[in-house]
Amino acid sequence: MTPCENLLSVESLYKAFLGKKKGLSRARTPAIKAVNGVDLEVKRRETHALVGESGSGKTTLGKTAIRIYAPTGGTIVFDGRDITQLAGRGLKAFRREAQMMFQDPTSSLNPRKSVSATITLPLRIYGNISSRQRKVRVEELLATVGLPRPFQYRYPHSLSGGQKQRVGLARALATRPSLIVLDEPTSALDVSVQAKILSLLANLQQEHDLTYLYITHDLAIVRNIATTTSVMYLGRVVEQAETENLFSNPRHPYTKALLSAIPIISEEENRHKPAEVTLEGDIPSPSNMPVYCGFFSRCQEKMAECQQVDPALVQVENDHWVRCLRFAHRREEERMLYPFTTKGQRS
Amino acid sequence: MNTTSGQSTQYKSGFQRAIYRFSRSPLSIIGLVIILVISVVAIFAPFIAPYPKDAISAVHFGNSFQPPSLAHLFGTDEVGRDVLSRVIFGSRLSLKVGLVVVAISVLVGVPLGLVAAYVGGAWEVVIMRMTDVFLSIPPLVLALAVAAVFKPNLTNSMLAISFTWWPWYVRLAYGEALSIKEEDFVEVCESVGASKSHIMFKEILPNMASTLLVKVTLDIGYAILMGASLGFLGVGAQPPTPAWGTMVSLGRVHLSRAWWLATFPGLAIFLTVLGSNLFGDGLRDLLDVEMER
Amino acid sequence: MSQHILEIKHLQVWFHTIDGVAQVIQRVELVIEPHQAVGLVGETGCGKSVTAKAILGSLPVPPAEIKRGEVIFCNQDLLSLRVKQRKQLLKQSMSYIPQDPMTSLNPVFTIGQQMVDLIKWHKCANIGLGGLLGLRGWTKNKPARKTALQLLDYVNIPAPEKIVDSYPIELSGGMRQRVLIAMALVGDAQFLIADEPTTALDVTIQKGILNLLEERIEERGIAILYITHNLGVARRLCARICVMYAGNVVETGPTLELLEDPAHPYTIGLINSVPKLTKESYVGIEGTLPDYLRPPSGCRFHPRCRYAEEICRNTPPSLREVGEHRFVSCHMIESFR
Repeated sequence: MTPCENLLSVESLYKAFLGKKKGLSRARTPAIKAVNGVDLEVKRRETHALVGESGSGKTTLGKTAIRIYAPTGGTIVFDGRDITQLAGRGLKAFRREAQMMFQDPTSSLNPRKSVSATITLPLRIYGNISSRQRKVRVEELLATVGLPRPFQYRYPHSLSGGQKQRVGLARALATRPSLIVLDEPTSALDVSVQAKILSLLANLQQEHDLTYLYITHDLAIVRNIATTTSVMYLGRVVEQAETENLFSNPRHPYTKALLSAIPIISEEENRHKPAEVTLEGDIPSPSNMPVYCGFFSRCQEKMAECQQVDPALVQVENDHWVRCLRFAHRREEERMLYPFTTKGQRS
Repeated sequence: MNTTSGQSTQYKSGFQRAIYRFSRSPLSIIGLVIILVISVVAIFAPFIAPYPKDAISAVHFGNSFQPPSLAHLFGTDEVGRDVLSRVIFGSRLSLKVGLVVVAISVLVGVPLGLVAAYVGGAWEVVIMRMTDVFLSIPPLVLALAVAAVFKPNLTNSMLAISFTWWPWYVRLAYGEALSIKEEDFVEVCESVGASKSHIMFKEILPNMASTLLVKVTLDIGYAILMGASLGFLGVGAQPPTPAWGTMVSLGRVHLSRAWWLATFPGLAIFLTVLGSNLFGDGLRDLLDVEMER
Repeated sequence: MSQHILEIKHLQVWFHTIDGVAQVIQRVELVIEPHQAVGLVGETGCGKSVTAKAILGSLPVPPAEIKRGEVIFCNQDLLSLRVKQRKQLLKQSMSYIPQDPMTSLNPVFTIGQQMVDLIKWHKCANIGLGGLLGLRGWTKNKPARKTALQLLDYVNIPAPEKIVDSYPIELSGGMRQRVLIAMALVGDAQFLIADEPTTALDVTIQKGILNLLEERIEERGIAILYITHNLGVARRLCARICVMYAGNVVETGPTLELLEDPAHPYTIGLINSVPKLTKESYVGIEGTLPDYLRPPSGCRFHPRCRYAEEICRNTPPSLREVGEHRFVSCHMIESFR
């Protein structure tokens, strides 16, 4: 796999948020390791889904990968360039190539700015283009996302949720990025609006050669739009595979639980779900993670050894990786079959 | 609910709704009327005052201590000047104090608060602690000190008041900015590469404009009151300037036999502050509901 | 005497706003049998919360106005009762699970304090005179505390002793929702209204809550009106589904049947919009929700419906029986079914 095939790749990425200082002493409340050692590759023009529940770190990963946050460890390579330590002008120049679309339609738009002002902002920062050209581009972008021209004068409070998300998308497209990180773009929308936004995203991906990093908790959407899926739990990837494989052959107990919990509408869908698994307990807090397997407390398939070892991500099939002790045992047998074992050791 | 077509909705615009709601509150209307009247009086003082020269330095000893009459609606003072004219001209001074103090406070305080909240770090610590220090200075004491060192006059008293007024705006801007900066759209701007000053002044500031506006409206009244207090104490405008506070102070001595000397300027102060309060409250109620939408 | 536990007949609710009259609920008809779980399904703005509030009597009456309709609960029309009588009836027999676990609990009181308040109000424990007068601290109020602990255990909360003395902020979303369910089960309600209780929760937590609800309401034989926008969740829990659109119930029927073979064009469109594990295509529904200030004439769905005809523009349809226990509100139903 040549590096240029990946638009974005991160290796051993860490992002921790420092705890608050306690009064005047130097002590702090424990840090939150939102992203706790993630390896990820996003190929050009694919849709890579990041799946997880709250506390999984998926949003932080998305934001760190495109340098909205600065990583606390690891490397990020974008289009062949190392962007981990970028700052100042270099960082600003990079920003136009990777943009983000946010989850909450209401808070992601400045209520005091018109649609046109919101979309123009990136144009003004990056382009040395006249205001007339900016207006043309704004109208072009509005058309791309399916909004009529007069909408440029409107303010967010007079827009519906779906319309606001379209404006957010138009703004993300303004600098002609090659990668868009989408943070649950439809979870705040009604189902009938969601379907239209999803098809808009699919069309745009074709037309503009876009690569998507799609963050969501909705596995039904993932099944329909993602090429590759990474399942996250407590800041780490616990399973990663081509979407087809993940759904037809989930390995990690958490993935199985997640799949089993999807509310389905028809009997046929039931056949695509694994056997019933109900997890007990709550998601542990990222500020208090165990040193052994993070999923141990809720796992239905745990073994005695799981409490002693922190499993590494292991390849079980071509392009299918799992972080679970049950599969680490197989490493010995499979060493013969697959030349790659843990990530980071590739040629 | 909105249509996807471009036609404008049949709703009243935000502004029309605001007017409608405002008009439902009689007290707010009264406040607004008072403020408008006083502003008009201040602007057109030379044309409204029956005896404009009295406001400055004319003296008519023969006419002193006349009670209110048709010729002199507010009576005359100890040197025979028409109290009404002096009160009218005094409105100019009061408004000047109110506007200047608030303007300085906003221009100094709001940017500091924004920087402290958004930039954070050392800036935040320095600015907020400095603000705390200035907040602990009692305005009257400072004004007295300033008067002792420099000449006591209107300008110096205005500066003294401003000195102790701006920290409140730092606090307000700081608090508002802290919550606004958590909104997603700020992160959006950062991810797009906007500069810090753009974010502070073009993104965050417009979102606190309504809260600021309410405070400004209320503060103009209070600043006027403070200016009048200083005048009353003798460290503000000096006689013969027709500042309301000074007039009350001088008239106080004669309260028993010429009540009109102190009463009318006092009433003027009262009305102005009342008007500013009523209007400011009305604005705030209005904006609270707007926020809820 | 009918044996329905709840029957809503021709409910119509208007809201008076600055911009005019919003005719939010045009016509809602709903029937719930005792021990039955019925799902009220619809998208944002369809009026399902307004309907729930009308049943609970918590609509703010100006600006809301209940133009007509009957809400018959336990054989009494709630809308015609005096406030005091209605409150008395509801207190005995109806309960409510609110939507947002984050904000529905008072942050400055412990779980125990909030539950004991409820327990006292429902007189579910032998409080004694001292307890009534609030003389002793509630923690010493053994009967009330015991009842609270029992209920917390009943909703599968581990370590209830610890939870009962905790503040809401110390609990996770899933725990808080369980507490809210426990609070709804204080007293002997025979009917529960659940307003999207799992919307704000993660999907694995949601599963646990749904399992719990299913078990408990079956044990107690409670009828439930489950409001949600998620068809999958409704399928999990409800025997019947009522689909709402723009202030009307447009279709109702047994869950599995309705989902496999929807009749109303809106329901068909809704089901077609959901991405499915089978990778069937999903398309949205053209158009947007109507403006309640100027609602469309006739059938409110007609501007978005491809089967619309003249009659649909002129006359609002009403629920008609099209199968066993299946009702659809559509003029054109025969032509495309």
